[in-house]
Amino acid sequence: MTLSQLDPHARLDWWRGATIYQIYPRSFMDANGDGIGDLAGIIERLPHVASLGVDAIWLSPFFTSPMNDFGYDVADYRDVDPMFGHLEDFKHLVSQAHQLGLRVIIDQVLSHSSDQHVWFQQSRQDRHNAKADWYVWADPLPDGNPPNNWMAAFSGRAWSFDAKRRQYYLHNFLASQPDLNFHHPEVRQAQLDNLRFWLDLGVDGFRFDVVNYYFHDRALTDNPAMAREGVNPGNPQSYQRMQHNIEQPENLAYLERIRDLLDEYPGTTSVGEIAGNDPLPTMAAYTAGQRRLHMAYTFDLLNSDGDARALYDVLTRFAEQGEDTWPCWALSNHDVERSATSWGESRALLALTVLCSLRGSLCLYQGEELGLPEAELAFEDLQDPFGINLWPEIKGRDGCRTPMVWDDSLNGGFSRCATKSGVEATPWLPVSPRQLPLSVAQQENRDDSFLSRARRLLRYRGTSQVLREGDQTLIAPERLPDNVFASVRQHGAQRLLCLAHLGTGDTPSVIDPSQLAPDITTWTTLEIAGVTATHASHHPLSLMPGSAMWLALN
Amino acid sequence: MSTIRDTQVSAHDWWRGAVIYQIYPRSFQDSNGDGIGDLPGILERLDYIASLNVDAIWLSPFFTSPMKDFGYDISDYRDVDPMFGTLEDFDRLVEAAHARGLKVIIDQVLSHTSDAHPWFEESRQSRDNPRADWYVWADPRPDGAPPTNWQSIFGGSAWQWDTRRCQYYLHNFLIEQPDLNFHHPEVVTAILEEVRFWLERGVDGFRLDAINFCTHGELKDNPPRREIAEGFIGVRPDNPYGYQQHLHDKTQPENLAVLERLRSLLDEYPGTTSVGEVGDDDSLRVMAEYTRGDQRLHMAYSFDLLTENASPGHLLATLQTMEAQIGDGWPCWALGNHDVTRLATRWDAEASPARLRLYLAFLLTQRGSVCLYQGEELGLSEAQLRHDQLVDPAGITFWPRYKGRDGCRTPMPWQAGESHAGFSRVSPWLPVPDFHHALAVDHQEHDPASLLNASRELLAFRRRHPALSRGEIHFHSLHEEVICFTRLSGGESLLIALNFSAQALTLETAWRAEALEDAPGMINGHWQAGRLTLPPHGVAIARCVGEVH
Repeated sequence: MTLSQLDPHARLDWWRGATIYQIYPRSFMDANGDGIGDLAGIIERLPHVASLGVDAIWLSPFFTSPMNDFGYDVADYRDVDPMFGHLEDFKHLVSQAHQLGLRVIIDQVLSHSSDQHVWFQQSRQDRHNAKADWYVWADPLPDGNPPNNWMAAFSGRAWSFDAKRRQYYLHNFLASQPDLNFHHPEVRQAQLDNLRFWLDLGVDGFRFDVVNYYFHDRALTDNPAMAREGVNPGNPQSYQRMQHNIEQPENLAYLERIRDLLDEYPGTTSVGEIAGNDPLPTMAAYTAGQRRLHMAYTFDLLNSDGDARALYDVLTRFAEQGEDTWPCWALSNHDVERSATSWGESRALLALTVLCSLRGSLCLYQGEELGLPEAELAFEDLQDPFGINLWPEIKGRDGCRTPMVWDDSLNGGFSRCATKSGVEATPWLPVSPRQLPLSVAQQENRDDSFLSRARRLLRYRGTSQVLREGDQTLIAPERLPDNVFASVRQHGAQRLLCLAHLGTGDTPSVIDPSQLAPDITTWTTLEIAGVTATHASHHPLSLMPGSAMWLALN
Repeated sequence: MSTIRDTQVSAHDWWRGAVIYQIYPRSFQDSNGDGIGDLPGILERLDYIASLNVDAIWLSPFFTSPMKDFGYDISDYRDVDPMFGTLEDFDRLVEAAHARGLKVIIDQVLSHTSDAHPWFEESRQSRDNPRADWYVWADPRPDGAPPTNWQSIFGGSAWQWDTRRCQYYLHNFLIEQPDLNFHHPEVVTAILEEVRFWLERGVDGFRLDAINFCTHGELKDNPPRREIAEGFIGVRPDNPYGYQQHLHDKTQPENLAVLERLRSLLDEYPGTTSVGEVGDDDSLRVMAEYTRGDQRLHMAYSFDLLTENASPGHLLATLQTMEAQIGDGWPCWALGNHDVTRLATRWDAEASPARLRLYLAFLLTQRGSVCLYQGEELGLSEAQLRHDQLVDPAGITFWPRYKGRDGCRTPMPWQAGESHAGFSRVSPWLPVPDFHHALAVDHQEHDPASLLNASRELLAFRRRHPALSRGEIHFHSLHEEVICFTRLSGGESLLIALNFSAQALTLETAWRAEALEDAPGMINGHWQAGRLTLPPHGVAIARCVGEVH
């Protein structure tokens, strides 16, 4: 049962403003000593997650998979890959999480399957089997080339030729990740049935991988070239605007069917991942009203390097899409460089503080509470095909996927695996030596550690109505000193001015709060020890670069 | 046009009409117990090769390589891959071969290198390093797509993206086999120095891989082609490579100048030779063009007899087309090699000793030189491998329509009673099929009627009769299932008739011919007073009496 079913007093909209802790199962905790994390390992470490005061966990894929894209290539939507455990382990994990008050969100990768999925195995046999049209097949051009110019995310064409059907199939990602054909009604239904399987097991929601990729243009129109300034020169896919391969209007109706299903299980939620050329309007459209997704996220903040102006622009642009939408913001996840590195290690806590000030729900990526920087890996250590294909310009996603550091024991406490009698057993990605001093055990009992500060911050955010649910007014950079990011959060009579100085140096900026919002006369600084600064006098405020200050306005 | 119709052989001309035994080193003989054949293993078996009555060996690549295409991806042209041995092993092999009267031809893969070759590793660093233009680099189209529609023979676009240069590079074969840019003078000079290295070590010649691919054309789209006629490894309806007319990606006129530079080098080492592999939409024309005169290649071979089509009409048409175009050029014929399904299976002769002998006689009576692929003398059939046993990237990509080239690359069976048929003490890189044990060398050695002994006999017969190896050829139309021709040299005129039907035939002819005293035992057809009798799949070779045409 979902946590809401277990607890009749629980709020059904618990997800609004919630903090979701993302677990990458391969790298969280290895209980069986094979060098790869597993569900039993996650269960062991749930108390750590609960201690952060977060509302839910999001588990990246743990389903049966050949792991060409580390689980984002699902070969059986209804089973646990033996590497991670069994369905019984999963049920146990859900019940343990619920006992700790944590909801469980799982990843669903509906847009494409693995080429090892029985659906694709059947579909590729010939052009007229029962699942012949479950994937996107098309004849070659007369010169043998793919049917159009669409490019794949991991370099190369989005089409691969199948010798048996003598046709190409579409894959927006790896060739081993064929795209399902959502124009086919049986495909749409089959994926809903897979969702129901997990809802019946008591999950509290889903994170939907590339939720805007489900439908393609049936006419297979060429994508237009992207204007030169929009191109990332190292990635051929970025040379074109993804106008026809993804994000077709038919998707809205399908999201409504997903929502209808979720509404049969009160208290469940959904968060969609949106990638593309102009994701903010899509994020708004996909979360507008009560009929589609509950939440969505884009890469706009994930790719942020902590520039105040850029933050303001993204958030303003999203706000302009309408009130009736709900974002889920994150600065780190399994797809991007860790924020401690992209923002700079000295600003890691500041990044988390800014994140906690935002209107919306939040995703926190495992290790972000420790201030972990990106791991540096050698080419030989790489596992991610994205990095292997596009090295060295794009180093892939392995640097954010190295194992969690728990303590000072072998492999940072992540795994007991060891090389014995010449048989090599090491974690699937090396534990980063630079991260070891930041392990949970190292930080746990120090009041001034990053973890302790982060925990205070997250707990504050978790219990603050104004932060979870309040409106947000962003303050234009023109009205602020350089590099200062500021917003006013308001819920009823409660108002909170959140200031963050994203600049460097040691010259404080002078700020007069009464110039920033109407009717400000007095305020009190809201101190979270070691996180937000206090200020003795009222006028004027002085804010040091790298610090944050939250003011309760009277 | 001067034509060589009846060539007097000189010592330097040894290659004209020679029989070259192709060795695939991975699969010939493993001497160090790692499951992979090696140069010392070949050395052990040289007496066997000499006993076949062949003139030369051709060694498939044994050079330093990451082995993505099993040695056809070279990362150091001047060294032996440790898997196969050392340069000293190679020197010993050459010496021992020469001591047995065997010439040594080695493979040279000049068109492309491995992506692990230092030249490519430097070239991909930037657009302005000293080797920046040693490979074929091009900007993407505005939509990010590759610069042309060219396809790789092994599947997918012939262009691979490189993030460092933000450009595509050309690879007609695997992604790990970038094509060298032969328009760059330094490339031609550098590659010829690699070739010279081996000439200095005493090799007698080169087999030149994909020689018509060295020079690429303008970066323009190839037009589509209407009919897909099988003709080269990649030209099949289940491979998009076959959907194009290959006007721009290979066989460019500028390639002739490269061949001439190569020939000038070879001519510095008298008695050396060359045989080029040609895979083109019109391979026979290119073979003729590439071997014309004495300034290009000595010989060339195509895939025209390496297809599934064993009908006498097709075979005859191929031979006649070649003969009409070849002029003073010189073909090299093969019915099997490391790239195609084994002859016994491809031409449906697994259960037919008569057909195996017919095909052998067909091959060894042609005008031209001949390549005989290891195991062909044993009648080896294609190994049927499961998908999980495959190692050839082409087969893995196009499975199950095309199963790749592993089935013709399984190890030689030497001893019927040994595990792995005596190839190796350990489990080899590809398995020895069970049914190959019965065809092992030691098994056939003592059976006078074996294909092995028939092969030896026929090879010796060809050697004794220059008419067969170098003489003129004239085709006669006699019966739609019979290929009939005369071979003429000096005073000798031989009449050959090959029955491709499963019926015994008795045919009235206008010619008188008499049996040869030294005819091999496998010759089972004969003339009597103008009447030719041929058993099913029978072979007649006789001396003409009087004028034939």
